[in-house]
Amino acid sequence: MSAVAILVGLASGLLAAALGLALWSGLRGMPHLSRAAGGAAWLAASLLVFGSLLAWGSRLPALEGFARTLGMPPAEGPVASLILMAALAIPFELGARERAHWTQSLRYVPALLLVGTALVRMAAADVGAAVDDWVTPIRFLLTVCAGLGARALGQALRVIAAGNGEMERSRTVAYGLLTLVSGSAALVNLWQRGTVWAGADSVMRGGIAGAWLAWSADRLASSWHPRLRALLTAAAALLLILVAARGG
Amino acid sequence: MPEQSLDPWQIIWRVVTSDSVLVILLLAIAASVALTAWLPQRPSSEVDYARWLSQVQARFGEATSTMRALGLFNLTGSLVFRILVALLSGCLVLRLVERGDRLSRGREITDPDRTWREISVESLGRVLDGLRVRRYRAVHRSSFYQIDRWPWADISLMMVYGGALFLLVGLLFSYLWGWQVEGLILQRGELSTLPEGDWVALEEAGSETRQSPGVVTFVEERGPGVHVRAIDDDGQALQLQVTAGAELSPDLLLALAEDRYFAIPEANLIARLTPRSEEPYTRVEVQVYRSPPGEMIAETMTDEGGEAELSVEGVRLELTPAPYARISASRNPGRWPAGGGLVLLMAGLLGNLIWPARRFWLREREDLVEAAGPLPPSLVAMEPVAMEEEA
Repeated sequence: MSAVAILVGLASGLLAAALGLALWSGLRGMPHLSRAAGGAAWLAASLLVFGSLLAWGSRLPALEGFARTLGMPPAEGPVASLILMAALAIPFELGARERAHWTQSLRYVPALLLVGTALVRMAAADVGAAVDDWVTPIRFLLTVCAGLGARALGQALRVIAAGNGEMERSRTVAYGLLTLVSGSAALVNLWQRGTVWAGADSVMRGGIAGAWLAWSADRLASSWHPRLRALLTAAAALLLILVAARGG
Repeated sequence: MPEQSLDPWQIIWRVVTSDSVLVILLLAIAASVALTAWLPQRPSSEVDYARWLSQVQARFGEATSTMRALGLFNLTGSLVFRILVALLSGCLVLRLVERGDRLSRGREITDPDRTWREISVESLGRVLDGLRVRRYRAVHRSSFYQIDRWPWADISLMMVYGGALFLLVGLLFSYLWGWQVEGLILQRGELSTLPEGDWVALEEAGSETRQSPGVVTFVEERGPGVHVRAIDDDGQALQLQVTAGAELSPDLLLALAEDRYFAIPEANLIARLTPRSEEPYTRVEVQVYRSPPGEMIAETMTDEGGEAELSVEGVRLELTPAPYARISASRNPGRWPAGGGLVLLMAGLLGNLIWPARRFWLREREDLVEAAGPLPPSLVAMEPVAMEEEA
């Protein structure tokens, strides 16, 4: 079993614990449990950041020796993306002092699902694109966008369940970065190849454009009912995650 | 006072410039574009079409014909998609006009359009100072302050709409008058003709391309290739032929993207070249067959780099490396409008994300500070309702 698998396994356990604690804290009215859930999520995020560093950077000269010492096999490309997305999807809040609502636990759901999928893919016999072919600047940045989108998805799930809640910041960050990434990629293509979306494979090309348009629609729907808008955010985030995990 | 009925044109204007219409259009276009990521779209060239069709039939089976009838394999070329894009363009033009009007009217102070509510802050002066630091404009009227981000909030949105329109115009120009060719394979010194009398050539050194003015070329990949000559005992160059119907030539340039064959008809010989890898200067396995009967009479491996000489039955084969380049070429008259549009769009969107358009009002009444309109997050926390929830 590789070091990445161990880190991801530990992180998934911690995330499951965080979700359970947050749920219990909300249902039983125990604020200190909410803080414990935040702590567990922080720890899981740290392990996932380390895991994604190993998965993405195992073929970089600076980390190659370290990866060899650990006896790490090359990670599968989509798995590396899933781990990085999960790390970024975890909200960085240690929980409030006052009573938390049970819906706070929903914020951990996207990260847990992403980590679970990564574990399943690691255990599966079929191996997709090796990380060597997977690591490109555009794919890395797209994965970061999708990770932030997954965080917005968690908050959207909470808003759908509770009917209210703040999620503007995570939306804005994800959309801003996606705008920069997709716009820069289009400009580079235009300069190098003469057309906006030439060259990239169809999943990346159609997926990024579709995801950006969906996020733009979400941005414009600020006057919609919070639940309806949260549904829109969730759909846009899911599309972005799918593109980042499938691209290629 | 008689009731004022809304002009039908005003109603239409409000509907088409509403956020909801733009949201629905964007979602419909997003769904179409996203579907192209997973449904293989029909290629433009006839050569690729046959391969695409067999792949699609293998993947979707009997559903292929139904999906074709529904236009799912030509989503962005469909009439529905074009109508959606045309509607989006119209919507953007109207919003640009509306935003221009708002920009010109934004200088004026307007009365609050919502009810006043108390906010819990120390003093109005301190709040105003904080807002000015965050690039808000605070304009005083007799009894209240109007706070907004005029003119930058409106300008950033005009940049968004204008940029998106420029981008769409660029894409239209590209569609109407541009072309794109992919998968051109060229070796050193070779020239290929392109649509509309344009051309592209790979220079003798094999690293740079030359092309007609206005054509953009991009080297997608490089791979192995060889230059072949055959000399007889008298030092005369023998004619070579790639296929039965091809023209005879004293030398050949062969791109080795796969195994390649050529014949030396005067010597009744056929040679097969097999690259060892996809590297441009890889070793190449050379096998020579007598034809007829097709038996192998010589075999050798080129040096690292692709150089080799092989003598067989009085014929000397000379192989020198000539890597190939797979090139894509395009002429896009909409390149500059699209590029300018993208820059404007990105700058406008990022500006709008950092300083979103917002207008609200503040006033001081009997030591209390009241607000009207949509407040920024820092002041929303000061509203009594929010405070009650926190408590």
